[in-house]
Amino acid sequence: MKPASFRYAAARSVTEAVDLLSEHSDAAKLLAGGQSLVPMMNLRLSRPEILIDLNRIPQKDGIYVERGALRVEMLARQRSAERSELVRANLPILAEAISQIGHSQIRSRGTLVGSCCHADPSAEIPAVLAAVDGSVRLEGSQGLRDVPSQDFFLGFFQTALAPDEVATDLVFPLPPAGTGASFLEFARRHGDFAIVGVAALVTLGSDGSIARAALALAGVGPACVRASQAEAFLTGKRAEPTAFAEGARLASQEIEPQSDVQASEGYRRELARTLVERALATAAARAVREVA
Amino acid sequence: MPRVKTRGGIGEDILRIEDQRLLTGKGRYVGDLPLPDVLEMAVLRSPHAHAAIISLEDRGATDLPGVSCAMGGAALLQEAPHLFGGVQPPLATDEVLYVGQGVAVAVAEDRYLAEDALEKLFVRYRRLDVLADVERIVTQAGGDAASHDDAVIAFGEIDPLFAAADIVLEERLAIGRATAQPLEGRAILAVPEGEGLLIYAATQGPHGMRQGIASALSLPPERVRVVAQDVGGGFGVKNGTYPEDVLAAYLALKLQRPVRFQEDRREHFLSTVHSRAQVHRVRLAARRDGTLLAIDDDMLLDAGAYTARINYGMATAVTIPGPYHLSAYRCRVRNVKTHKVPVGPYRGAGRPEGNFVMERMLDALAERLGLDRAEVRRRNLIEPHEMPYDTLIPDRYGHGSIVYDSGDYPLALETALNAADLDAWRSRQAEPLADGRRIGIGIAMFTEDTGVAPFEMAVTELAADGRILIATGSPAQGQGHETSFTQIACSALSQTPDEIVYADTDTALVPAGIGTFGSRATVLAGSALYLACGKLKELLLQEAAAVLRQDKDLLSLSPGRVEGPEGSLALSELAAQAAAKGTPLRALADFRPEQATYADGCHIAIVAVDPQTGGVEILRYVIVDDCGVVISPRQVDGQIQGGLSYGVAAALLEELVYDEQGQLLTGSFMDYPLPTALDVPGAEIHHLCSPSPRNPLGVKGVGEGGTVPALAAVAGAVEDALRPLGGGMARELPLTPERVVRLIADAQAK
Repeated sequence: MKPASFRYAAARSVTEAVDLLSEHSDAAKLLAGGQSLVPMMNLRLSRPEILIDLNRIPQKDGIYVERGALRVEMLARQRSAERSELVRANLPILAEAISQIGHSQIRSRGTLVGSCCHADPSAEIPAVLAAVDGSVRLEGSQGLRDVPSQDFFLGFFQTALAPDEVATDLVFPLPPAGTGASFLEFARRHGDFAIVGVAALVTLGSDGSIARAALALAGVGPACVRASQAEAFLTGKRAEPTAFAEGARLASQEIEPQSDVQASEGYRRELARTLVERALATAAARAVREVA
Repeated sequence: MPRVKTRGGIGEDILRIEDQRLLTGKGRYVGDLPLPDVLEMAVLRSPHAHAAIISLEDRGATDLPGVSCAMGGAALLQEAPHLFGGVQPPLATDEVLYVGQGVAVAVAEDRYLAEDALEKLFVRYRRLDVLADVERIVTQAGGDAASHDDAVIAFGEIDPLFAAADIVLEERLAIGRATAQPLEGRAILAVPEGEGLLIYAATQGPHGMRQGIASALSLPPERVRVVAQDVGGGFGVKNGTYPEDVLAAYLALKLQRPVRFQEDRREHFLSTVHSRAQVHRVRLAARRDGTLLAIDDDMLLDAGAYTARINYGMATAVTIPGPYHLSAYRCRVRNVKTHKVPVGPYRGAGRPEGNFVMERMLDALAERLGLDRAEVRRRNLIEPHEMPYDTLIPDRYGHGSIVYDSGDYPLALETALNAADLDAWRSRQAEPLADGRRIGIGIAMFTEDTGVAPFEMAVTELAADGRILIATGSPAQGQGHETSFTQIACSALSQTPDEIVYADTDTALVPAGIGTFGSRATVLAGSALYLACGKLKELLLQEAAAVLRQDKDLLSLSPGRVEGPEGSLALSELAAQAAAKGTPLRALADFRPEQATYADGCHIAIVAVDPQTGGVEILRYVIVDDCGVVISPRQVDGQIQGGLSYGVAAALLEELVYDEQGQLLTGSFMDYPLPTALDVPGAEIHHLCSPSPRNPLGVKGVGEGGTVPALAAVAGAVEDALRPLGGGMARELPLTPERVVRLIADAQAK
């Protein structure tokens, strides 16, 4: 478990990183937190010729609320976001999701942007980004672009990143007032990759019915998915257990989980149903508190 | 049993002496040894479970700068055929038998370069049929050819008892393949010295390794010296001589440079022995009143490639009867050949599996009869007045039958029941918790052979500075022998810990030894040490009597001194005189008990189970343990608590899952979950003390007792939680969340 030899370059700016990427293309890998990349290099599953270290780029680790969205910069660590008052006040589901990633040592190095670029289908942060219709900001030799989450996560460890692009920010639009949210996952142990994870947001209207529901699931397909049929069903329904149960049933029907060594397809589907139902109930209860 | 009370002596709750070193990063591990010119070794491993090796081509491995040597198995066989005399060759030559088996080796200035060299070796394979599923293998191959061996442990007349029994239960029970995960992988550093080798190894048995390496290399054993310094965990798997040990030793001699092999985690999963991996077809015969009559078990052990170093299936067989009366017993043990990593002992070494079989069957009997699980056990326990109790179980070493030495099993049961406050928990079982989870209670009792023969030796010596040097053949891998052995020496010699110098296990210091495993170090090495200290005491008093011109019988030892009615003498002065005379004051003792000691106890697990997710949380865990006299109280509790982690792991978490092609699907910590502190409760531990009459200390082993009954206790608790929802019997471990959910679904599908 020693990596194959590689060259190392520390980028001092995003532009420099983009230039290095343009020069080396597929032979290069970007290093941010390194919590997935470095083990893969040690197993020689990933063998970049050159490692471009982003960690020396100054002033790119901020978390901001601006224009109705939470923006997280490329070097912001998961642990910082988890503990950030700004995140906890404006998008508590993000902190709740992050607290379930690995262990605190991992979160102290791992970045939010890096997790999205790695695009593990069971990862938490992509699910939250998908649930709030967020986007990823990319900078490449052709300039800047914002890619909505549904276009960014393409499949198993696959994203819309071009070989010369650096992901610089995640943009999480803030949910409207009256929204409650919950992130629930089930793993063998705390800190393991989720067998299934669910991000649920429920916005209650003034009459107490569900004005809007968002459900994103992790671990049930090649990328995180929105349960759109369940969302459509829930919209307009009263926020009560029967609605959550039916929404959960629909969500468990519309996903396409795979069997693997951790769990069978059938168990994953059942687990998704259970977690969606519980997450909806919690999100709705929090929404009521929000409204009150 | 020693009665001398000394500060730091037997039974005193002192802090661990070695922790100062181990917790401040001053441990001396094989990977840290500051030797110059060390070459690092790496092994190319088979990606196939069963294949013929067609060819191996070197496309520039040996040309890489910094690479000293790179060769495949065929080349090694040609160069050094004498290395290939053992059960498993150091490298495969023409056929590989499991994923992970070594096919080539490289040594280089560092491990990075050695791994680069392996990438320049190209092996062509032709894939062959793979044997993976033991039950399918024995039905298809139909018997003998499918097994490495086939043995029966039995007593009494089985068939008439089954024919006449009121109740006959039959179950298929299975325990998944798993292995120990010491923080430090296997490690060896072979240093050429004169005409032989000095070997530093992370090993549980330096003397066995000396024999293994000497024999593989055709060297006289005295030319091989093995030293075990600090070792980062063993748990059974760092015993014996592995192929990499032979390779490192051979290459060090060949290249005349130190060669180190430091196993990484990936190769640990693929090359260090696996364990457990048993399937039982078991029948139980009983009377309507719950009296056990007979057990008949047919065990298949997924033994992997090559013969097991230690046939722990036999340990399973002798463990099954446990603390209960049985009129007849039969257990057939077959180690079935598969194309997987070879098996060997892992904490408990077959005993947890045996206990699981018996305790689960007792729960099934309780279920059938509508009896309380504790009551079924109570009606069958061996009583203290029957001790020593001849179980009639044939000793697996052919020395007659197994005789339990001491213990009060009914007291262990009642103590546990009282401590766990079961009535209160039972009343909470009627309704689910607020979050929908259900409470379950599991009970398991155990007896365990500890301190298994044949012998252990110890050496004590008055060092030049007047302190007492102690050494044994049983090295520590975290157990804290420096503390417990020091406590024994303190009591035997009326010293304080400051006067004792604990030496690493070194084959140059102790002439023979077996090692540390099977809950045996304190029982055997501890007793040998106690005897050696007694001899040294005689020597010291005798010499002091001559110097002081006093009657020896009036002298006594005190910390650092010999005291007499008419003056005293510092041990350092005695040491100086001995040095001047050239006769070191030194004693050697050899302890050879006839039988093992039998520890016992009772575990009660209380769990909460989420019937929808299958998640299990252990709410409370009560342990009553009887390991006889306790030398080092906090280390005994530590052993029990640590042992429990392994039991919880086997019950709920760890499994080495192979597919039909013999590929390991759970070969990293991502897929093979070790329990963390969040998964294992702090156990509430109670002690009973039935001293063993079979050694001078009255001790019994404790290293595995925390593990043995935990599989059954946890599984029984999970099953109990789901019974009100129509859940069935928990028959297969580990109880992954999916298997837990299926306990309900499968029972309802029937």
